[in-house]
Amino acid sequence: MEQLTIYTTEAGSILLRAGEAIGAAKAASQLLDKAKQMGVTAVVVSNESELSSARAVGLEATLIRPEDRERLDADKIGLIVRSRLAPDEASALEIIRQQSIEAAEAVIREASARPDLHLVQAIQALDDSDKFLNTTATRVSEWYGLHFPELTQMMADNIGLCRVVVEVGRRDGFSKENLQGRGFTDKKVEAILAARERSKGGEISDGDLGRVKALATLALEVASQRDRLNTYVESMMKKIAPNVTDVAGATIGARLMAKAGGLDRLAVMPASTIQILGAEKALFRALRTGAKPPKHGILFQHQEVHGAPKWQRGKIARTLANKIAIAARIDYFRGTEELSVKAGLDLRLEQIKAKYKEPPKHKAEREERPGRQEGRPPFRRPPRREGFDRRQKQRRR
Amino acid sequence: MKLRREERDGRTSLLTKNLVPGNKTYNEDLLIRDGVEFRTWDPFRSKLAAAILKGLPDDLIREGDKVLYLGTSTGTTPSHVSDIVGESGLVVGVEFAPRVAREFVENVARKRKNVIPYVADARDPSSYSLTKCDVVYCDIAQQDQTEIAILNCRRLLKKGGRLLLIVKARSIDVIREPKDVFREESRKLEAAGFHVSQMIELSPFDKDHALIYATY
Repeated sequence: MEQLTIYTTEAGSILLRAGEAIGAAKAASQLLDKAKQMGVTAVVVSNESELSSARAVGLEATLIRPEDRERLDADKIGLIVRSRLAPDEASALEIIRQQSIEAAEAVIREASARPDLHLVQAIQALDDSDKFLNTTATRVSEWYGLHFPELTQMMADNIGLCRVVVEVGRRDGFSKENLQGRGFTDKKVEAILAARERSKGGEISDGDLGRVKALATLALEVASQRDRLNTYVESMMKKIAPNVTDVAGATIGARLMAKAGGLDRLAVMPASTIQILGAEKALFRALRTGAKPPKHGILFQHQEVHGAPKWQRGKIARTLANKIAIAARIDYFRGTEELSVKAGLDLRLEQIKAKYKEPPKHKAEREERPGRQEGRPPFRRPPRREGFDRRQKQRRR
Repeated sequence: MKLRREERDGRTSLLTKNLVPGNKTYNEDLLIRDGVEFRTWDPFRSKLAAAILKGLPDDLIREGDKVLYLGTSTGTTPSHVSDIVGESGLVVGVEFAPRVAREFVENVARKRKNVIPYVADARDPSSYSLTKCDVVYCDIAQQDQTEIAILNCRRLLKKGGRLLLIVKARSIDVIREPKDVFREESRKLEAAGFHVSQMIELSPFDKDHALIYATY
């Protein structure tokens, strides 16, 4: 009984006997028929689909061993030429190249369609808008302040100021009527009108006012764009990562995802990494100098963290990161909403707040614990673990 | 010679003969020398150019060579390697990240007949095993980059072939002294049966990077 091998390449499939090509065809199925006619009963094939088609025509089939495959791969171009699938090495390479380009582009296309990557872009656009908004609204306030400084002093909200600048304009255009309905108290309206009478601001030409108004209009436009983006991020997060949204909130979840480079990467991150995402500078400083490592990165923005008293923040950030890690994994691998994660978080936060209600006692007041050195040891990088390799996982849905 | 050096006021600049005359890969300058079009090779954008300026021999990559290039990124350096190996040579380029691979496929692989692109993981050489190569060039910012390079050489580098390994100290260990990291990676190569010929630090072109040249 002889055993033949079918080796599939970009240029077509090759039938091998003892490592030498004895036949070739565009498709493996033709070779299977040929082998059958030759009286072959068993074949070695190079992939799963050939395995089933070989068995379908009644041949015994086994998958090629990796070491044999490696040997054939190293001689792939030679085999293609010898089995006349291509006239010479150059054409063989050209066939492989065209196939590779197409395969590469397919991978790129598929990767570019991932919804979480769009979400990453959206949250970054949101942060860009915020930055722009701050600088531009501040600029409007400064510029308009030349003309009516008292108003800019009295209005804390720069976006509100932009609206007033666009809608009212000149100092002497202000009146009770057009100030009402903007959330000013009556007292404030009075104050603004009084300030107008004895303003320290200078005159402003039509040209200059026009520029300031244009800038204010732009800021308002960006502000409304920003709000639309925000809504979009929230609804997309609910779709893509409902559990993370539940635990961390939409914007923070999206920011973590952006920092990690996608939901898949966030899902395979250790919670300790998630806890300090966004605090890389502080982390590396801690690693280099042995200073205190950061307690929180992006997570600081979560109200449970920055709203908590200082001594609880580290504990809260850690808990939050733990739960986000679990949530991200559920979102990525299971894709269903599990209320238990949020419930677990709330429970633990309750405990922390109860147990650590009081600030820790000063070192001097603590009981002496024997055998412990004064002060904490400098922070060192934990040993690297052989763990779950992001690149070898199969996505299960 | 596909690679050309020019001395001007004490400065050396590198040029490679353009495989695709008239085509630019990034915003490099195209210059005519003796009626032939060359492309300027910027050492600040390409670690291989930096290494050559800092004493790596010019002839480690030769015309007609087959080169396995791991970590092509957008393809700046691979385009010059493609110039050097010429029409009779081959560059098999592997990049893991789709975002930068997009530009590599578009601007380099599609335009250059001697470049074959793979969007694949360098930890798994079976997905791009075509042929044994003369040179393995490895520039991947991974903690285990040296191990990955060794794995690829075992499978795809000819006996006596050359390995050019870019070591990014900060990817391997953030806190250790870069010099120690370079030495450590060198030792790993020696232990794996390579002969390390040269280790070139790439400053001032790149901070905390070195190129290790070893033969297999």
